[in-house]
Amino acid sequence: MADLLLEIGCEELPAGYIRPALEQWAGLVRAALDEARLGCAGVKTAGTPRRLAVFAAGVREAQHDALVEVTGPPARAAFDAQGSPTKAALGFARTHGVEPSALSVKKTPKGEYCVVQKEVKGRPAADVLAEALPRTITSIRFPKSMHWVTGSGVTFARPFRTLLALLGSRVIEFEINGVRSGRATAGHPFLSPGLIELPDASFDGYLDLLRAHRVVADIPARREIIARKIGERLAAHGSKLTEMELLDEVTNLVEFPNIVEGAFDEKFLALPQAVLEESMKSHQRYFPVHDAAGRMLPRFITVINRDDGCAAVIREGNQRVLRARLADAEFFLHEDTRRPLAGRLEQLKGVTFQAQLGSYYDKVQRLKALAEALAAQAGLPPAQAALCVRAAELCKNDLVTAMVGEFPRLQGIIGREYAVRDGEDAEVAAAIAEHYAPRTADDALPATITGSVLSIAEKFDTIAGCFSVGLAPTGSQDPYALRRAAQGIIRILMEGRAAVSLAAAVAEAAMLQPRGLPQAEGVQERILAFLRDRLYNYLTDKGYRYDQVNAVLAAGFDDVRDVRERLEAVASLAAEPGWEDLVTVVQRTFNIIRNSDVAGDVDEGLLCEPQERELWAILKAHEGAVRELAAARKYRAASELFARAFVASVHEFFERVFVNVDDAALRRNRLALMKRINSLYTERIADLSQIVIAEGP
Amino acid sequence: MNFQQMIFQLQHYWAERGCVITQPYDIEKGAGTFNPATTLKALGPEPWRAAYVEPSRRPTDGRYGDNPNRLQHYYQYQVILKPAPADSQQLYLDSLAALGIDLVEHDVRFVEDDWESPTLGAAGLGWEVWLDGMEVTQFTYFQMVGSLEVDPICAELTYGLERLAMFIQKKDNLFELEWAPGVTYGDVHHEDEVQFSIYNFEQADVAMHFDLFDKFEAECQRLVRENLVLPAYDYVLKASHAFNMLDARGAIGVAQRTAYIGRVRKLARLCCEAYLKRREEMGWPLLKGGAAT
Repeated sequence: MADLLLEIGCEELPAGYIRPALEQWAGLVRAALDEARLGCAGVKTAGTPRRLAVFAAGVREAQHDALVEVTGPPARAAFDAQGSPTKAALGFARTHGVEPSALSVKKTPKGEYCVVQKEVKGRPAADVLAEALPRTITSIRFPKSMHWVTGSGVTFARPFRTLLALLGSRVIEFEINGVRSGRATAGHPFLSPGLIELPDASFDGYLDLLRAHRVVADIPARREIIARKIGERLAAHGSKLTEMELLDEVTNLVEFPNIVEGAFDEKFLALPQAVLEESMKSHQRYFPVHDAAGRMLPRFITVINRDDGCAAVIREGNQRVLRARLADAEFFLHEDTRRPLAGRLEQLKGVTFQAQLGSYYDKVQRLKALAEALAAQAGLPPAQAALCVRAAELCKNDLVTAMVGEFPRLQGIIGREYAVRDGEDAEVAAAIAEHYAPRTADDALPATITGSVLSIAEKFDTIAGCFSVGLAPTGSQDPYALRRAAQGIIRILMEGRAAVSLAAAVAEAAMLQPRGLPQAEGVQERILAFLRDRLYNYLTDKGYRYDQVNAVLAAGFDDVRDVRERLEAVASLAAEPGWEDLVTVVQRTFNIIRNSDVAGDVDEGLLCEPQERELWAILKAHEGAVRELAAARKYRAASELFARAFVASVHEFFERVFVNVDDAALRRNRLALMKRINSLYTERIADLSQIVIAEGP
Repeated sequence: MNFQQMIFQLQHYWAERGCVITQPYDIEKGAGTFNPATTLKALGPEPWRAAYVEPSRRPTDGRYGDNPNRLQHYYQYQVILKPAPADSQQLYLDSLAALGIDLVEHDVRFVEDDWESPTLGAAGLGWEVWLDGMEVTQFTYFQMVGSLEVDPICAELTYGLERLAMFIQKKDNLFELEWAPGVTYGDVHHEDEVQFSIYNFEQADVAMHFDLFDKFEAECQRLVRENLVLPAYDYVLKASHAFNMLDARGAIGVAQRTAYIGRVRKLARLCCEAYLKRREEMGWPLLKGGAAT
């Protein structure tokens, strides 16, 4: 047994690539060892921006001899009618150095094949691994990878310059992209430049040697050092480390972690907090510093890749960088707030939303009208509706501020900050930021009613406009992120605080678009079909069965919360006894009418058989009650009543009455009766004819 | 070290490492990458090493000379190494040392950056290089130029000269940088910033630039048909600058931008394809050695 140590020494890898790459590589090495019949007792990993390392303990130094089964030609090609080996079989035996008598036949899923059991001599691990290891390296996948050697097909996240491969004290020799494997690795590029050699494949030895050369290769250890150092600094200010995502990122930005605390001028605290955070965290990877009460302090902490001894110089440099960024932001704030946010509307005329859909000014005019209409639909009081219209009027104005030009991700948030400074209603200000929400599938929804209305107005407008000019999503193409917009509408209506009719909202949004757009014809139907698909995805993602979702959507989807209620009723009924009987009623009544054009209503005078008169009586007795329960959205109760009324009676009817009689009037009348029973359920609750009943064992 | 000494140092350093010291290209452009000495020379199998100062214009970055960190006209120092040698990073770090920067004392970091120029259809992987938190250089291994995959791969180093000078001279205001003894950056360029900011943001004729864009595009396409790829490429630069001007005037919307950028990218691709064809017809002259190795 020996240990195996591998390291890829590369130019700086993106921080987010390191952990996933190590996980993959460890898995690939383990699989390669198993496949090579060398095995291992366990794997460990280490990594920095400049190296990925995998260690495997207890690897066999040579393969055991083994019997390997090799598959040859199909049996019918290998043996003739008499069972004698054919030319093909003799050739196969010769290739593998066995007598034809050693061939046998094996059944496989693809048919019968000629096989041979072959003794394979075990080879030294170093030889096997020299062949197997390069593939583990070139099989690591990154979100983005690159070529760097002319004519080579090998790609990696960044160029690698050294490869270390030791089995015990021996080098496993191979070459990839002109780099030969060896026993050398690099220390810290500035604090301990040059290559260092490892005597053998000890993991602790590797970590210790690197530590001596100013590299902490163990990721959890590095993270812990940074967390402790930052924690100590924050404790002095009364706060704790909470930025865990940033901590993970900076852990993989350095090899020899240290921190520096810097300060900035207190006057910059007057900047919107989002601007300060964006400047520090996403631009510079600095940790903001708060006091015990959560107030931001004019300080920051940055992680460095150097000794403490350099801290003073590095602090000064970083302070200068942040000062420049914040001075820039202060300049923007000063310029932007020389006039109120509301005064920027005219400027939006110069900003095109989409060539055929006009400028953002045009869009804002549409949003005002649409927000007002949706507020009315949602039954909001006039004062609330007025807030929606005001928020619509202001919501795009921050697009022409210098601050959003500089910090595009803060669109909406800057609008909110400026609205607050202008003394706009707090809910209007909040809605300006919220109208972009939800930005992702799991992003928070608008918290205010005004923000909810404006958010769905904005999304309906974009969808209606884009569909009208032929920008509907196709396949992977969705440049205006309309699927995400539709998902946002559904989430807000389903989980949020506003309720509107999809059809009415689509009609209103489509009506507000400019005249004469190329694909305006039939656009409402196409949008509703698109929304139906998104609703289907939303509900199946929530774990509902696809057939139940389809059944419920078939009975209408104008009110998405009503869809959810009907679906919940159907899903709960489906888990109970009696479900199949209910489905059967709907399916049988559906099957009998599906190919007939049933016109007119039931003519009582034509009901002649006792079972059909009985069924008619039951229908008349319960139809009203089922309708009322459904209208009151008591879908379980409606379903139960429907089932009580019709399970036995419909069954009895089909047992005794023949529907498709020759007498046209009688036939039509019976079909009309079936249709009425069927529609009573399918039009208002769910079209259960779409339900797939799993076959029993 | 003053601004002009920095340039002298870099010219000297890269000349010693086999670079042809070329000169700025005489058409407005947003970055040194647009210089044909990079865009076109990055294509095809011919080796090429060059370094040059590139005056660059980004009209939207103007601040009327009021902002200590922003300019609408600034200088890049551009180095192109093709094929990228295995010690590209070290060559770059040594150039910082040549500028007197102590790399043990200062925190040098290679921070992930997937560089992309949508107008040129160029993309590569590499880093922003940070010195004590300040981004001073863009270091990219090109993977694609003119929407065409490149092989061999070249390394592109783009130094932000003003940023680097601010770092070296420890200045908070770039207008206070010493350009030459007794002469500041502001003495040389402050008034340009004032006048061009007014022009870019307030005065530039929008209708004229829309018209120019269309005409430049048509001229580029015509010249490609005439097999005059180098003049055609000039019109890619001109169209790109017309777009930048319209952008500064706020005349192009978020959604429309994509379409305009796509039009420039198409032109760039046309030129890059035509350039490759032309060089191939010529038998890849630089492959025969001598010019740059």
